[in-house]
Amino acid sequence: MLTKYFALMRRSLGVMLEYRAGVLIWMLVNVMPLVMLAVWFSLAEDGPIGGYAQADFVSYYLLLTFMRQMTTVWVIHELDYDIRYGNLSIKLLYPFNPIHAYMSDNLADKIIRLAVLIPLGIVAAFLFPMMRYELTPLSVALMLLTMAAAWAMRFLSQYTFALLAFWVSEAQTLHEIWYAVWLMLGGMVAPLDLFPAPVAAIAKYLPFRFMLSFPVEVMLGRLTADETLLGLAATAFWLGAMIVAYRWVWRRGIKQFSAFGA
Amino acid sequence: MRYLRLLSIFYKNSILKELEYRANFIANVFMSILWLGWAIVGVSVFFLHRDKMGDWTYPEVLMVVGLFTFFNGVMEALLRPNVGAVIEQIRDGTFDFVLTKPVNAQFIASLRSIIVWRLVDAVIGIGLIAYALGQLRVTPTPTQIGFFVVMLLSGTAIVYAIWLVMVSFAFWFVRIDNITELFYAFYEAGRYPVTIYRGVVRVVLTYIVPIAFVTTFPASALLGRIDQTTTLVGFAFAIGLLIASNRFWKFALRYYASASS
Repeated sequence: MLTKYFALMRRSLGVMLEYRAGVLIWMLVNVMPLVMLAVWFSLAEDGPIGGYAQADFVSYYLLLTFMRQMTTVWVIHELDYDIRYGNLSIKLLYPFNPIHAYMSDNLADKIIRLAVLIPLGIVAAFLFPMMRYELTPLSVALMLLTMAAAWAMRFLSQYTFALLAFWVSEAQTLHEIWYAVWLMLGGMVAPLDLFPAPVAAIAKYLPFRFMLSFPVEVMLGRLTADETLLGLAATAFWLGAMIVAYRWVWRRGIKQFSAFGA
Repeated sequence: MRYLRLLSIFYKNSILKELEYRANFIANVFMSILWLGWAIVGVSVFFLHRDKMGDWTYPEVLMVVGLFTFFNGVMEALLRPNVGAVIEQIRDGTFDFVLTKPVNAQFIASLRSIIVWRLVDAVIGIGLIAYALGQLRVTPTPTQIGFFVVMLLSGTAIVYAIWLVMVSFAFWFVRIDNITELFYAFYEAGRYPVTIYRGVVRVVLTYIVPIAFVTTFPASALLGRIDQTTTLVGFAFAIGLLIASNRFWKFALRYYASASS
């Protein structure tokens, strides 16, 4: 399986490098965290907001920009199209589940993004010396782990929504609703602490937070040990739930698909 | 006159085609309301902590959100469908047929189709502006309404010019869907009054990607925050952009290499 994956990755990376200018433009598209940073930064001119001073907003949103980049997923556009136009038939002939082909394309994109983001991150560290993170080996390891989980959840949830195209033509619209909630409760519009207390209390346990802002919260050092552990447990729970959901929908969908005779 | 008649024929034709897909209408209305609610909730989060955003009160910011939604509808209904069509035509060479028609090519290329459902956003946007005015308990004076209309027309001209420039890029790059997405990403910043942004960001949003003229300034006009000088400057700016974008289109057209040549 590992050799297969290397071959897949090499192919995907080749394709992505061919379209590198496109990847750069797609990276620029994800500017929403920076827009939100600009807004909160000027709102915080007269003093901290709910425990966030200007420097905290910079730390939060710059790292969130990184998370947004590393969790970018577009598989629904491809898979929805492949299902509706029957291209999936060819991919079903692969000697492995087609999800791996889509996944390797996405990971190749992440390699290119990292190559751009790491130098940018170093520049940002000099430009914004007010950035403060909890830089211990443990917190960095936790961030990388939860970031990988966030990517996996973004990918799996979008993939599962795309599979709905086996039954309905509006799979992308259904996903758009999920996406809107993710933007709101994933910590994009505001750090979750800044929502009204009852909303924040619920949003803390919903999957959206673990699909974007949780790795950032870990790095900001605002979470107690208990909160971090609880977050890790919730991450594992939601990721597990999404794997189960994906497998269930996939199995039923593929039956439906062959029933068409495609 | 002839162009107006043509436009009405084009639109009638597009609308008849769209009427085949009536279920889309319901889905569009639902999504428009969802995103409007999203925008209002987002603004409310700011106002939980501050009572002003860059000198704008809550209902005033809602007016900007209304204009944002309005122009989003205008772009999605009138401009975006044409960009897609032109890309197709350039790729397979059928753009020849556009060029050989006895009508201005820019006119056909940029205004040929309309997706009428998307105008739902424009209607909802106007509704939000009216609601915000009601909350503010102000009735705009005739002068303010006049300035608003001028700014609204200027805003329309500005978004048209921006889209025409993006279409023109299709003569060099086959895939420009990411350029339009990039514009949308910047347009996101127009959800909030431009005065909230500082330094370079504000300059960029006012003059380089002039989104401030599209969402903030018409709201300012209705609220009596700008005088006739600013209105005139905005209008002149819009005319200037129209001329510049037309020049750019003509320049780009020279790079069109038909299908077989």
